[in-house]
Amino acid sequence: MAKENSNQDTPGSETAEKDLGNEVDDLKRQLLEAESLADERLDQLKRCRAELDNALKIAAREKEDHVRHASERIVSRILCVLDSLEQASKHDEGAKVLYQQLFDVLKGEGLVPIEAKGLKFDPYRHEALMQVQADGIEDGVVCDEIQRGYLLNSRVIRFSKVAVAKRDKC
Amino acid sequence: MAKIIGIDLGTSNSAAAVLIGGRPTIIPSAEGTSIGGKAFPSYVAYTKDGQVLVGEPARRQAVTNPEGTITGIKRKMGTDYKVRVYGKEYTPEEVSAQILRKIKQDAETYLGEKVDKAVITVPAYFNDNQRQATKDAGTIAGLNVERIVNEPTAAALAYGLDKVGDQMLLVFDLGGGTLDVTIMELGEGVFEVRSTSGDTQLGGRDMDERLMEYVLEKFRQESGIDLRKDSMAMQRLREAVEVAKIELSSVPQTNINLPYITADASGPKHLSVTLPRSKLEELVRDVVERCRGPMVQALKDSKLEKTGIDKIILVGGPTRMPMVQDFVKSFMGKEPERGVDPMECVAMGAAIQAGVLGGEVKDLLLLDVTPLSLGIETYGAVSTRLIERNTTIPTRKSQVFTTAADNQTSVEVNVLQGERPMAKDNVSLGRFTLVGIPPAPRGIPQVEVTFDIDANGIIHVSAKDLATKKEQKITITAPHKLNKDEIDAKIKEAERFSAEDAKRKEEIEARNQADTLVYTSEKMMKEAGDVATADQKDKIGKAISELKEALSGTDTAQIKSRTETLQNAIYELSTAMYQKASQQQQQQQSQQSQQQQSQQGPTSGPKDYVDADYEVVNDKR
Repeated sequence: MAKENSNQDTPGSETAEKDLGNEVDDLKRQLLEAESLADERLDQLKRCRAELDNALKIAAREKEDHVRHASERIVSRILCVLDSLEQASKHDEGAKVLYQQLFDVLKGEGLVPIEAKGLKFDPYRHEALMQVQADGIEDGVVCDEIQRGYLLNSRVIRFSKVAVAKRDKC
Repeated sequence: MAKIIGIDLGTSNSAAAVLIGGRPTIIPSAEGTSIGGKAFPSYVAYTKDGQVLVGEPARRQAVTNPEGTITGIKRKMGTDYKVRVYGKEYTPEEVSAQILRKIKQDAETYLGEKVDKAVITVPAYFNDNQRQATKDAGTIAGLNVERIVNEPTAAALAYGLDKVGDQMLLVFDLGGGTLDVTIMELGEGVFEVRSTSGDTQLGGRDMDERLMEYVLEKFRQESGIDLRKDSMAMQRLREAVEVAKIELSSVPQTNINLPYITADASGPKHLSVTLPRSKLEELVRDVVERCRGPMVQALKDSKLEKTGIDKIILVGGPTRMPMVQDFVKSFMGKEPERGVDPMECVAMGAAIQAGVLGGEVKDLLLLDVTPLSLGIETYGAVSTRLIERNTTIPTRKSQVFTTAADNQTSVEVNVLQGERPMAKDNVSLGRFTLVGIPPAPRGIPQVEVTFDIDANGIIHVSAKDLATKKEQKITITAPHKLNKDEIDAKIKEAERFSAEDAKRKEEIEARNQADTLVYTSEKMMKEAGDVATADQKDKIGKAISELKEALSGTDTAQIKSRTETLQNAIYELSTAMYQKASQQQQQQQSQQSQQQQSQQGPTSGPKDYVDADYEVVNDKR
């Protein structure tokens, strides 16, 4: 096109050439715009794909977690019954058997009591309800278990409610 | 590009959220959730042995370490106050930074990527000092604070109110220990605070106290023992009371049971109190009433009447209480917005703002969903769904259908919108006819129907005969733009009629099954030839005519029983036919499998054939 134009050197073709030049500029600009829009869209598409991929990963992880801890809700709600049976078993032989039976069932589901008394207080397993002045027990050691805590498949489902020893300032 | 998280750094509780797939999602706390939900208590503890604990673990050890445990540090932000712990001094920024650092770690664990940018919310009345201090806390925690956003603004964003247009909003934020009332004007996408009011010593904790007092007094009257002196009993009671309070938001009555709460000379004592919601409401009435003053003040300062408020948003755990909701509703004479968890909405709004800053929320990426299911009408005037409601668009789904009669050369596609199983109960969006299907026995032609909804909600439906590649399509540009109420009404309607609809669908299915059986039986009789004995032919012939007779009536039970009779007769014949020749056997087998397939209900896979045949348009039976 440009060659053709250069052969004809008439004033009329000059304006035509100018027009064509403008058109070319215009098209170039449009091409650039289209290209940048395409880049932007491609970028967004990639982000979307990455986002979907990540969301699926998170969903899969959460699902796995839910399956693993499916019994958590019901077991933690049964704990108060276990407590009551444990208290009752102190007075009643029948309750003692029932307590043992329920405990064994829950143990089969992965329930493990948290050790507390005599250990150093651990805020990731124990919850301190009070501090007591205790002679002969080291500072910061659990001196009394008020309510037993439990782990279910190595995750805490109830924190041990404990009293922590505090030594008088000597 | 790394994600920017949104953080609600609260006085008593904190939470964080992030956009995942364009949707704000609360980041779970690493040590599990507490009774209040996914938020965690804004506690920081410095222990004697140099550990720093944040959130639940810090709260759990608070009793053993009162001098090292800090809570409510937000009240001191932007002041010269310093916390002295075991000989060291900490600024409020440093303490808040511990909370933010924990959030950063939780977010990194959750997302599996590095997080170093955040949007943090502050109360609307925070001054420049307080905002700067919040920003500094972020910097100390290793977070680049991209923006500080007002809490009420974040709440409004969580409700998507920025897209509704210019309006006046009132945000009622009742937290654990503070009440903030904010009136904001939204104009051209910009939120401007018109007035703020509140009470820095009013919140859910006051309600817990009232409830505690009541239970303590009741126990004292019954047992003569005052539990106030027993710190262990008090702690157990405090927890039980908080749980009971939360429960009473959803149930009308609850029990507080604490066996072996204490003991005296006569033996152990148990605490058991029945608590109806009405009692709780009576106890906290004056606490709720104290919210009135700040509401009046905020309106007065904004120079607005109650009627000048377009939308009301509730924020904070205690606003879950029906009584608090009723109070706001009766005071304002208007129903508050619903749908977003009041304890999570600030964090969610912050995440949305973070998404905007991170370039994630762009018009192109704001995905919409189909409000109602879409499908086509199939044999027996049944509505067969292709796209379920709430499917995120753009989306595309295909399914292969077949004809309902022999030599049927055209099918009509009636595009339906709605949740009801029968075509006539749903809205017809449009219909078209695909012609030129080569004559063939029913069930043989394969017509692929494709629904394609683009990002603008425009529905393209096409039907293609897979044998001739003939195609016909329709584009539905304005698929009944229903507003939210209309959509809800439609869904409720579908729920209301679900039992009735299921019965009708069963009827239709029984009819379709019977109809298919009659067709295949007649075909089999023709093909069986000599294999069938006269006796068998008679038996089947009779069963066919009886079933046809039943089909002309409306007795579904009769249709079902006669279908069974015919089926048994056919089985006898087919058994005899199988015994014939092995070659014939193979032929019959392929047919038999076809027959059986057409007798089963619709199958779900897009590549499967479905027994939901077309409504016959111009067949010549």
